[in-house]
Amino acid sequence: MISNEGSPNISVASRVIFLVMLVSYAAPGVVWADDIYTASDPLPREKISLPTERIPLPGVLGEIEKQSDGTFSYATPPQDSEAIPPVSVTVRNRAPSDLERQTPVKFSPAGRTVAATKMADTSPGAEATAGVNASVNGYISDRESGETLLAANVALLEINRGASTNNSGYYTITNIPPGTYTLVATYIGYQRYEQEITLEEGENRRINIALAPKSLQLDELVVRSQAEEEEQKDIGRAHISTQLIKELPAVLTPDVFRSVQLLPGVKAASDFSSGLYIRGGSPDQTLILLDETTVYNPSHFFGLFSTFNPDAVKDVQLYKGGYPAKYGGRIGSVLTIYNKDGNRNETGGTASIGMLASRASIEGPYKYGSYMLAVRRSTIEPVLRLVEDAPETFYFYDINGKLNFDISENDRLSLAFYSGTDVISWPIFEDAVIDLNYGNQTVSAQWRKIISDKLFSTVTATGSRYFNEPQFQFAGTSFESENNVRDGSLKADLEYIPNEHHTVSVGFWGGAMTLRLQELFDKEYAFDRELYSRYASAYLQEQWKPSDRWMATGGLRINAFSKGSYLRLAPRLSVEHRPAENIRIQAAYGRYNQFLALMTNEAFSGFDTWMTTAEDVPPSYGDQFSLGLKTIPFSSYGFDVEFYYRTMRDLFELDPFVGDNAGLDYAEQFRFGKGYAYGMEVFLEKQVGRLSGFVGYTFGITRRKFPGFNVNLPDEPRRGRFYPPKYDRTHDMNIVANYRLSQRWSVSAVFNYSTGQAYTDPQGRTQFSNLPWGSSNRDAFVIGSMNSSRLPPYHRMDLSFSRSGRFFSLGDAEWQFQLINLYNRSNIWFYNYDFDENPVEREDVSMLPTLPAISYTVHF
Amino acid sequence: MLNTLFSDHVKILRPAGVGKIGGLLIVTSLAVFLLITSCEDYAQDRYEEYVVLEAYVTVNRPLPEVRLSKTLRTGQQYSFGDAALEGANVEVLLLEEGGDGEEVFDYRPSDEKGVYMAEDPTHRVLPRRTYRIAIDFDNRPEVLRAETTTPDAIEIINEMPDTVIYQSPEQMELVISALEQTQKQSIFVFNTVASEPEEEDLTPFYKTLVEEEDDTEAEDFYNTETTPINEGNFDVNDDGTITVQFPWIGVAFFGDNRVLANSIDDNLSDLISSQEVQLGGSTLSPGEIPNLRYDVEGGIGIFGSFASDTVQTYFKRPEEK
Repeated sequence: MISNEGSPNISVASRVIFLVMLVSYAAPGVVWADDIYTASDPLPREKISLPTERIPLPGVLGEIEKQSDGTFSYATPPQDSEAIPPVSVTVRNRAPSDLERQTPVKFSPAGRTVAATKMADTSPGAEATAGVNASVNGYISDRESGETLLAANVALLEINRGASTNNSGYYTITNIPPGTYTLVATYIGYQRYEQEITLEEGENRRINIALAPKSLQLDELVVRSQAEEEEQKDIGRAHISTQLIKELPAVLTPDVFRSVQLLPGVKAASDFSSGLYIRGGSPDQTLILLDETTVYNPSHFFGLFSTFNPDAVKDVQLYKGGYPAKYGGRIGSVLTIYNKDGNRNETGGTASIGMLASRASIEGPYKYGSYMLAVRRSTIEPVLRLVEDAPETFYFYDINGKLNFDISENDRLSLAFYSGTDVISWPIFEDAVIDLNYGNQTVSAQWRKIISDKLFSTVTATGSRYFNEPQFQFAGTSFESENNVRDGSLKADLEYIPNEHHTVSVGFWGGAMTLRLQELFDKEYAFDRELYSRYASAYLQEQWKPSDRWMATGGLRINAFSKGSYLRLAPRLSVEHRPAENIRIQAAYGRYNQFLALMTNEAFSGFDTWMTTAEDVPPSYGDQFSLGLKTIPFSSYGFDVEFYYRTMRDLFELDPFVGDNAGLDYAEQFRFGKGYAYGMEVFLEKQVGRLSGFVGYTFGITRRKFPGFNVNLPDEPRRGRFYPPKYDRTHDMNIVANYRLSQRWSVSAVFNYSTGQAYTDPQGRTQFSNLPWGSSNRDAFVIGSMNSSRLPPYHRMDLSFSRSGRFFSLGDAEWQFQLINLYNRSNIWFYNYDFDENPVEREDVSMLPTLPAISYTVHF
Repeated sequence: MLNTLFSDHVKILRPAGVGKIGGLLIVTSLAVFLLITSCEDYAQDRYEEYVVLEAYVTVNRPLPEVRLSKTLRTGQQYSFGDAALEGANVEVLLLEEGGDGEEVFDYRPSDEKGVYMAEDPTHRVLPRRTYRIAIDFDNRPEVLRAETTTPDAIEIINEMPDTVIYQSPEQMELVISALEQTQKQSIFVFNTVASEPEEEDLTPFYKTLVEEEDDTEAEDFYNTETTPINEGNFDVNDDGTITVQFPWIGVAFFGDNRVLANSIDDNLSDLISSQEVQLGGSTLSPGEIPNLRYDVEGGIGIFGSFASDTVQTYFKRPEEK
């Protein structure tokens, strides 16, 4: 490198040819050049000396020609009026960035050439002065499998314009001045794609891009696009890769929800619960969508892990809060999961044998598109037979399938389904048996249509069913329950991108749902209620980018629910400012409504029951405020900080003191309360390289208040005070690391440390000894403040070793060896109190001890 | 922004103002955050001793004994004798419809510490009437007050078979007389009292419990009861009577048993239901322990009422001839 004061001793590449597309300064936004030269060698490192005085641009280019032996060719000669101040120029297989800063010319490497382009005037209204502009659009997919990639980034370098793919993997860049550009696409874990394109006036070019996955390289060259990182860092939004889900050590089987629980702002209630407690909200405050279809009870094995088979999953995105107007129906968060479309290039599959469950999947192309089928079934039954008092029958299974029809270049149709069931039969004593059967089924059909280069639509029909049917037989007396949710809906979304400054989205979601709850005691109906409701919502959203530094997204959602005749408006607003290239400041506000509530118990999800609003049971609502700072401090690192505050009002949940709801009015079953939560999340990540992973820290506070609960005895029996729910954890930190030891071996570790959960430490006791029935006295605790004590801090480390190899000549294979709770930390779940002892004794009920696990997976 | 796509490395941001803005934002946010957080004080209440009242008013029976005690700290050994309270002035009032006292019944201490007896043993508790209890102490500042409205008198009006074969298709039926409501709906508790609770006479389910559970003995089940059951669970006959299929789970012993149908007031229902919630099993998370629901002013406990009727039958083993 030299500076303008430097020596004339200049090393010059012998055979360098530059492509220069020089743009007329008189017509901003229009590319005039059309000459292309191809270099025979890669662009070498250059040292170029420029005159010390301010000289016109033609002079600079001439000097470069002279020193480099290269030649510039112009469609229109550069103008003398553009003087270049003294500048240092370094060309190291990339643009002479110093020169860029001094001129409105942008230099871009494109293969073995370098393009120089006059920067387009991107100010609002500028396009009005231009001619008829072009557009480019298409799908971005995995080159090997053909799977569309969601939230991948695409850009035209020369005019600083970009976009990211939507939930269908589709992108569009409109309002492009005619000319030649370098089209670049990037996605984490994939090689950067680059293509030179020339667009004619008014041309609408379809370019479907296939990205090649990065091969495993120990000394992988880390080339990280900032745009790529930024697009995935919208406020409150997080992305979990399926590869990470499979690599992480997991209790018995890889799990989507367990992986999501590692993100800052997301907490787990216990080792036994896969429920998502996000930013102080309970699990029912998160909308869970599988291929756009609501899933009502996404759990297997008593709630230990989620129903989503990682073999079938393509993409997992979590909106922790402040989510956009496109979504609604929950006052907390949205988790979107998309199943794979299936390999469009070749038939392949996976078979995996694990200790809890085994999995198999197959995917491939067919005449009109692709298909995918993934099944998973428990294989723990032989182990259970060795355990005393284990269930007599226990199994679960799930099946995911998808079929894609590529009707035309502009139309794609997909059919997806999911079915999962847990079955348990457990004779716990003589003449006492528990039978439980619960599960989910979903089906969806989606039609994605590219209406024009500026307009994209999706229409989705969904069906979802959740059921649980527990039966208890004790001493000839039966207790039976049947809980069903049936939900059918139609949703349509339109995305309109008139130009680079505006993206307008509009959509509708309407449907009908039936919730049925029947309870039979001793074969007589004790409770039989069917709740039918129609629902509809519509939204309008506008994303406005007045400049590269500012972006605002405003939206309004209207929700209607027929049960109780409720109509609610939900405004949303987010603003983003980029004071510099690698800093984003974001703020968001939104109001959210919820018409459903889940009756559940943290310890067991098999009896989960959904209830709706009704007359005298108003919908819950809440406001969310969040503020975020997203930075890229170093190459391939991300560092984010987010603050949030949210309110929860008109929370309705089953009154725990209503032991028997027979004969009660619907509203009498509930208690109505409110709550709030606030916190700070810090996230440091490194997503690529030999060592990857993240550190997430959350400071969080959440509180609830219900009348007559947590009262100050005996003066205020019905008032209630705010209290922290059990899952409130002030400090929560997760460290996730993956290190590739060699081509074959890798190790993953997860460490979690968090404040002990809230619990109620009884202060006093009494006894009711004179009840007219019963054989023994009734003991009772006297409580002070609810949940004002803390269990010991929780910490646990899990480790996983993976060894990849071949399974004969049939395909790649992987062994996975795992140790859960490496150092056998006895984390307390809760305390049990034994009144048979006097004084009463407290016993620890612990969570998972050290658990080894092994699995073997073959990819064919 | 997109020109960084060229870069092999993303540079640390250098422009002077940017670092300041980011730093200022973080510092300001943290300061506000810490300020809010410092206000979030949620500490445990100090232990407070409460007076505990226990009295069950039974329709058509004499006024009940009243037991008064205090709460003890959780870690203390509990016995009613240690907790019992002396020096109380107890009176029960029978109220008119308007709420004024129609009749006052004074109480006196009994021989057992903490137990107070009505001075008038002749008064029979009336159905569908409201009784109020008022308590103060010579040696304590607490003043307690509670009311209960007694349920209608209950009667099992059908003929009981002398013998019922356990778990036979012919389930035992109880037909309960039509009740005049004193609350939104009647709430029942059914209990079974074995006349001779011997372990060899346990029904299979309870026998397994005794055999397999530590600290469980046959006598724990000599008087078994259901949880409170709402009238809404049963079909009300045209004449207002209620037919109840007596559940087999209520039978813990073969042999002679008394079967009781109890109609309870809301106070009792609140106490029993909430006590079961405190033991766990509701929608509350494990370790989240609420107080019981007490309908007592100035203290805790129960001043509840119920009406009951009893029938007797013999539960025969299925294989018994």
